[in-house]
Amino acid sequence: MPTAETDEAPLLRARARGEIPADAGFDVLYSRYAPLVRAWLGLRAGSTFEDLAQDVWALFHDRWQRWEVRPEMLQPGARPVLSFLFQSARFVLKAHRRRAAAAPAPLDTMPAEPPDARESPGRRHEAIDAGRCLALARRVLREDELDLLLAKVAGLSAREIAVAMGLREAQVDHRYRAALRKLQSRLRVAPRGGRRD
Amino acid sequence: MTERALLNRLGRELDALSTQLSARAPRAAPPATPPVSPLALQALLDESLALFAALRRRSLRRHARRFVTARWTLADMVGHLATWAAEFRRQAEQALRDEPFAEAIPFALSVIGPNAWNEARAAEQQRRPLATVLAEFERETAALRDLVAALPAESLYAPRELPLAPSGDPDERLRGNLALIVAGKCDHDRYHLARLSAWLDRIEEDEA
Repeated sequence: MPTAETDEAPLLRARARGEIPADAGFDVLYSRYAPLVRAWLGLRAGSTFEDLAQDVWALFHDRWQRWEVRPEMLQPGARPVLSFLFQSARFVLKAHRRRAAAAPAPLDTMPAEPPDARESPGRRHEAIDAGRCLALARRVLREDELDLLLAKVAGLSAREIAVAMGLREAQVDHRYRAALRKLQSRLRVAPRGGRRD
Repeated sequence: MTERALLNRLGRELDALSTQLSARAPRAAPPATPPVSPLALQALLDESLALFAALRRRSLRRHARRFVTARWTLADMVGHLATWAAEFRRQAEQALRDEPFAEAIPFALSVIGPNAWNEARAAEQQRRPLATVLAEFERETAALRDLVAALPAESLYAPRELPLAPSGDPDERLRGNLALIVAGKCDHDRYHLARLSAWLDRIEEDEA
């Protein structure tokens, strides 16, 4: 059940023809995707997710003013905007972590415990009340596996995921299957066609 | 639980989390005039690196000597990107040291770029192996990104006089800041990388 099933092609066509102003188009896409972007970032960044989401939308706002519609973006099922948001969310999160690692802590607020322990994913995510499968996925999957699975669930195609994650399409499929198997084994269920435990 | 059932369940849980986080979040209006934040600048540089990595996965060596424009081959275009990656990184480091730029890069006979400066650098890059030029782009772009990550925000937005002189007069320099240098580099990368990718699409289509 993809989370974002709506086709983007009609909006992109209207935008390319000048039938919809950039800001109106942006509002439609913001309403459609803002909750999903929050969820993607919320799963990783804990309480800072809203700030990071604003950075993602600022990047998209700028890009949307000059959006170039290419033929593959109008293919059925293509979600170039969602794909851009997915990739930007990954980059912004990476930047957030890089900057946090580079910033020296002021002497009077130095943590008593190592920064790694204070900022461990478990601690940061305590506030996020994810469902059972999602929580398990966050715990047992590597971050790139989780990203890939979430992108699939959101309805991105293998090609879009490959571009956004810098992979080949065949790698997307292989890693997606591996992530599913890992999750299924922890849920004590068998893969499709297999025997139920 | 089948694969389909598991995906459905993950989808429902993701929807529930989306709703939950959006209910808690302030109803911030979409940004009307987006600031280029330090994180967004890094994200833009990572995007440049990702686009370049995608280009590197294609048959660059085979088409390196083909002309992309009337004057420049594919290798020249890659050299152009590498030249500017190094130049932007150099400008950022120099600006950070608060050293004034002695030299200007005037735009001559063009409003879109410093043609004379570009031609001179392209000639220099032609003497270098393609692999070296490709590595230069990646090294310099990553160095700029790491610089941005380490800098306090005030250093990124402090006004400075930059080497670019768009009017053609070397004494009339562009005033801006490091954030402008970085955003400009990323715009420049995306512009050329999108056109190179489309050009390769056409070449490969013709070959097929």
